[in-house]
Amino acid sequence: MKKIFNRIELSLFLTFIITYSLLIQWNGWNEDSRFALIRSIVEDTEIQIDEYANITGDRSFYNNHYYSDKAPGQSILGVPFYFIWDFIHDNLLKSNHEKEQEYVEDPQYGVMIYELINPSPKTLVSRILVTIILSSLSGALLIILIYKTVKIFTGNIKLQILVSIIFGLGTLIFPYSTVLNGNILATLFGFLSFYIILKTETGKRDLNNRNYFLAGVLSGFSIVIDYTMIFVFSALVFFVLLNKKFKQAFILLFGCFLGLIPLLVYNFAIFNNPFIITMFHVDSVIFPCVQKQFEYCEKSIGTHFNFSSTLLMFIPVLLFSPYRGLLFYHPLLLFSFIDLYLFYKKNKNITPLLILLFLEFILFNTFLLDWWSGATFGLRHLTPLMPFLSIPIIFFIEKTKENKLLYILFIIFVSISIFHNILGQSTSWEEPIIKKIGNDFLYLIYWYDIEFFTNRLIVLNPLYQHYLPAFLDHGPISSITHGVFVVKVPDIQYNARNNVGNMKYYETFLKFGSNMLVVKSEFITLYIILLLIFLIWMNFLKFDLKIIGIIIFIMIFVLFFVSIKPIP
Amino acid sequence: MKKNESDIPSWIVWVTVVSVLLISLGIFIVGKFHHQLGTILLVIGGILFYISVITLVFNL
Repeated sequence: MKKIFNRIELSLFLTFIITYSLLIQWNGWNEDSRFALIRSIVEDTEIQIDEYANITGDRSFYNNHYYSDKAPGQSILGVPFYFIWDFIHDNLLKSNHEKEQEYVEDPQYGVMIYELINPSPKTLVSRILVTIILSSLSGALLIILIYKTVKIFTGNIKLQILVSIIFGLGTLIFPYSTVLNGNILATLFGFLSFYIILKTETGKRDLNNRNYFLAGVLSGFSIVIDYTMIFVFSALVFFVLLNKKFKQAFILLFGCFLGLIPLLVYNFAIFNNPFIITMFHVDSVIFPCVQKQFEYCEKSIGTHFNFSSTLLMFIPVLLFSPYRGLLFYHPLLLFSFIDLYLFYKKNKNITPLLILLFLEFILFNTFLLDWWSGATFGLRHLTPLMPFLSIPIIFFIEKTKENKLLYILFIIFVSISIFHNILGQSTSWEEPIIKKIGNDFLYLIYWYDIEFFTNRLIVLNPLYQHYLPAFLDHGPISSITHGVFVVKVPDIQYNARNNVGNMKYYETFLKFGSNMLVVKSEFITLYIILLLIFLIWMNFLKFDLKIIGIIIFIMIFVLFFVSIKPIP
Repeated sequence: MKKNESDIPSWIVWVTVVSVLLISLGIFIVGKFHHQLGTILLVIGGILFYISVITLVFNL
């Protein structure tokens, strides 16, 4: 066990924690549901979310109480940080002049959900805190794990860094490290389990059962965060069995059971049965099973799935459709699949694990009634696959360096994938927009709602019809940098975030007579992120390159972002 | 190289196990008895769990 931080690992970590944290956002129901459980535990000492149930549709109803319909793991891990913040705020910062909170109505079938328009500073800071700690930090740690995994397969340091950066910027890891919805935290735990097993099995030392036990515990807890991680765990058991380590497979199972205990206890506290999950009791007033399935699915798991063999024909849609297709959004992953066969020749044990994982997740997504997973970016349920797909890419890059044409094609696909992710940071993830007209707040129906019940969903192209115009108008937006410029507590919710894009410039304190210096807001977020990344990696550059880089950044800032405006 | 040497020190395994058990007990107390002791256990368990995961990621 090493005792010092590796400089490259630290630089990668800083690069991604800063990038993800600056772009955090709050999309709505999903986050509100998870946050409601955190607040209930800390403020009300209970796991019911009755107090906050009317601000989220992602809720379950059982025995006259509301619960979060999400797996509880992420909320549980958010408790310490919200507890500390709640204590600091209420004892040191509490103001007696807090404004009355305003809500806008969001009717859902026979019930009204309320959208909070002016959250208190405490709520605003809480959202930022939990999103950065539970998602952005997890994303950055995941990139370190990818870097270390690549290290097992190749001694080429440049390749290790390249694959880590490509996967950190060009896959679903990027968008889901900016939101609080469990996918990335669960992926971190699942991939950490895999890494422990991989390192143990590829190491020269004798196998130690302790490693398998710990991998099992972490894998079990990943299921407490996101139920779909059961697929990762089953693939890990398959992997260990494939290597004929039967005793270790049993230890892995035992560890997993221990990691699952928090979920079993949570279920028992609600239903007096450890094996019933809140997802089985989603509030049928809000989710009446989308039209025709209503009869059979009202109070069952059928609310979420539609098992039909004809749906297998739908797999190409999930992969290639412009509406959230995995390879349409992130075409670089195509090379992971292309290289699987060649990877198999080199490593016969890991390839079946990758294939099994892919089949499990893609079939799960196929049978999901709402396969598009609400107002999100890409197919979020496939996020846990991402770090695993980094492994075949290593061999692809090593092999195709001599084939220039293929290598150029790879670079183009990587650039497109990263560009798509940047597009996704330019406006809301297909959420409806709330506008204030006169004294009234109005919901303006947007992308997601327009096509919700139509069959045309799969032919829509949100990347180029919804995100691209916003990107061309103002570039990616960051509520955090906006908050710093206007000296206000940042509001990361999607509506406030969209208003950030409407602001054309930021005033500064530098005044010259009747004029003042202003900073243009368009693309400033992109500039700031690139500048910070340059500063982090500057120490690895030669002196002359450092100077050239600094001059270029200063010139870009002066030429494109600084302007003089009359004082209003 | 000693036989059965592991990359993972035993304290991390213990911290992880203890944190999971503290979290479970915390949920049980909050869920069934609505007592603040449960929240305190969740806070301690959660922080310990995070420490072990971050240590593992950087040092394994």
